[in-house]
Amino acid sequence: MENFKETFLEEANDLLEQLEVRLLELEKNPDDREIVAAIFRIVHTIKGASAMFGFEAVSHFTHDLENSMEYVRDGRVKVIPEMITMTLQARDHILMLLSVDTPSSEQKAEGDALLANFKHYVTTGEAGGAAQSGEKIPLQLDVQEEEEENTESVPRTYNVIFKPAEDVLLNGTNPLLLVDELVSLGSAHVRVNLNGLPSLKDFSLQKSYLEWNVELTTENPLMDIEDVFIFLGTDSVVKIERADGNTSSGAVPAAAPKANVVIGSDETKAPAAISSAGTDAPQATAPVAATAKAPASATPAAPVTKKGVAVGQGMSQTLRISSDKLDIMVDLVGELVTFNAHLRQLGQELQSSNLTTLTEQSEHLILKMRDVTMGMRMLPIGSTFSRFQRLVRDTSSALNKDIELVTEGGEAELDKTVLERLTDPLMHIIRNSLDHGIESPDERVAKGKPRKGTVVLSASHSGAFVYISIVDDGKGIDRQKVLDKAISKELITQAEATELSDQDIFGLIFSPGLSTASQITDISGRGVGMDVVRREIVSLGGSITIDSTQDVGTRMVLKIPLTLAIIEGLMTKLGDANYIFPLSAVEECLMYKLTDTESETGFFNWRGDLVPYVNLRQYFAIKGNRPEKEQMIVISDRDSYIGFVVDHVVGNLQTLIKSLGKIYRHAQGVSGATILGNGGVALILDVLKLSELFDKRNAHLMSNEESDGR
Amino acid sequence: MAKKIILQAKFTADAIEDLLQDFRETLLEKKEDLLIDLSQVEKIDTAGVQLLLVLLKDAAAMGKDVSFENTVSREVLQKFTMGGFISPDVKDGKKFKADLLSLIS
Repeated sequence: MENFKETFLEEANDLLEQLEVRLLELEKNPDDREIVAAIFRIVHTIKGASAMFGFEAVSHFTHDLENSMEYVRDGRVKVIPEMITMTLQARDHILMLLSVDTPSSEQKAEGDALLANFKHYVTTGEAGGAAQSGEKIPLQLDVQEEEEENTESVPRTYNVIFKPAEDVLLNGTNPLLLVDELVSLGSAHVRVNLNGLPSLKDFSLQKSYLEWNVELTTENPLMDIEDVFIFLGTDSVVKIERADGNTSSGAVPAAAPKANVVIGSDETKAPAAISSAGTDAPQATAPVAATAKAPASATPAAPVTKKGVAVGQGMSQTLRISSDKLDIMVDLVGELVTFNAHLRQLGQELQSSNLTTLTEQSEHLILKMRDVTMGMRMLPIGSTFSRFQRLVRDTSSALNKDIELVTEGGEAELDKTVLERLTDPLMHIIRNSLDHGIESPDERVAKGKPRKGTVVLSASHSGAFVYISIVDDGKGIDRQKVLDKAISKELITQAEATELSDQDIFGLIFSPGLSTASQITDISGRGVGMDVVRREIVSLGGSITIDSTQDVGTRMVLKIPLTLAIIEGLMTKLGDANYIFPLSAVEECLMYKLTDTESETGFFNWRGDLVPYVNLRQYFAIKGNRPEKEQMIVISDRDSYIGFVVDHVVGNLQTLIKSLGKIYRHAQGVSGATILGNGGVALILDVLKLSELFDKRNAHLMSNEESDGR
Repeated sequence: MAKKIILQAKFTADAIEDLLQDFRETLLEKKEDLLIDLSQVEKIDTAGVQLLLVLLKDAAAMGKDVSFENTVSREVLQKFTMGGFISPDVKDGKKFKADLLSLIS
């Protein structure tokens, strides 16, 4: 039973997330009946499922909520922001109820108050038009849509065509039972079609061959009819048509994606789970189909409602998999990559062309597998983006500002773990925009800006990276303030302050303890923000840049590598040691000749630009003689370049990054290590960090040179 | 002479594998008529319902006869009525067969 409960909780959390998204959508489109219907279905599903799994408090609360929401669904009350807020609060309450065994009396009182408020609103309509209970307030609907919901309790006649998929019996569905349920909704004339029956010879006890055509006259709303088939999979056909002229089809699953349920027979471990009806296809996930062992018993396994329960797959044909399993998979693939490298090595040592050929082929396969596996962990960033809508809504209203969040590029995908780790930094940056960036409506109007401030969150792919930008049209970063603060915190001197470029000044924002907010608001918190943000992003292998113009706005761009674990690298040799450059950063490899006037760093001409370079041998203090011919690896970091001199380039490799362990945590310039085919270890260079360190050094050297009067 | 088969209480997919073989043998191989006693059936599912229909259908095609004993259990009558196979006023084996036959043809 525990398994079932866990899965229910997962699903319920999913549903509540969707509910929030939909509510915010509804707020922007208050007349959209489809969203209302979807919201209602979600609540309805939660009600049923929670009852089934023993979550009494949730079930009762949701039941009452649903009653009130019927007024909205039936169009008897208007959708207004207060109502959205109340529903959001109710949703939060449900979330809370899911996390406790039994609610405390306080929590219960809170819930009762919420319900009472809601009820009061729907029955009296405090705002937006006086509504006497029962009197209809017309929403701006077109007549056609109104037909969908039978609000007047007038009997209507429908034609229901029901053709269960051949294999529904295997999944515990009882078509006869469903027909019975359908009929119980009113008065019906049932016609069954036997054309699908096979001969006795070919007949199978596990298959369904029948098709029904039911003429049903009922006062119940269309939804009740659809509900009968709620657990049916996508292979079954259900068509519901109004038999008195108008067609309102509530097809399962064609127009409205319906709930699909997994039924676990006692033998399988896959638990039963519910997903919501009316979910948006891209985000919907349906639970894993558990195939019951044939022959299916006549009574479906517990826990089941009286409705026939069937296995199905969601609209988007997705599968729910525990991320632990994925992690194991990724690990194994990583091991395979390493193992294959060993084999390749062996082939070279033995000089066996057969073995070499084979390992090349297996490498090809493994890389494919790697790509698919890594791809499995990818999630669209839009799922993270939509979480912020609520944040912006609540925060801007708390600050008495009018701010809209626009998102773009939500289809860009990132590794699941990366996405999780990005949530907090992104939230912090957005909060900053809301709190310090965007001005109050009056201020904005005074400046000639639109009253409503905008924060644009967008994502895009480029090469091996994803760029996420947060742009606001607020007041920008006050350079002087930052400088003043930095000076007062003794991060820079007054003299240095004058030399700093805008970029440098913005860079100061990442220093710990530098919060320029004169008041430390609850919203943004103490000055621990931006340095933590940056640290997190760098630890993901990414970088963050800031740009800002006074009174125009601020732009922050995060650059995040697509995957964490497996790297495509360029292996180089320095003395006896191997060093790997991330291939995505490598622009070019050049021949380089030792010259007499050798200094540790310098500039060289590359494609017409003067590019700085570092001699890694000296930088890492590697012993031994320098080879006569060396190589220069030119690395790019967005729009700046830097060269690194190595002994020579060995070649490309794909390899699993292993972390260096705690002892080396502070080693700068190295982001990890990997095990080579020959068993040796290669260090993976953190080129971003190196170029940073180099910059500092360079600046220092240059200033030295100047002071020496050279 | 028809072969009489008395159906047991459970006429459901998990219980009638052997019965299915029996029917196939009797009707298809030995080409005998069937007389089925439905009075004992307490549980019948979609598989059971479909099996009876298939029997009738094949028999009719072969020119053989499948009939039912007069007493049909409540469970069977209910299931067949509910599914729209027979009209609610069917009470005995004869009418049961008649309604089903008219459905098949």
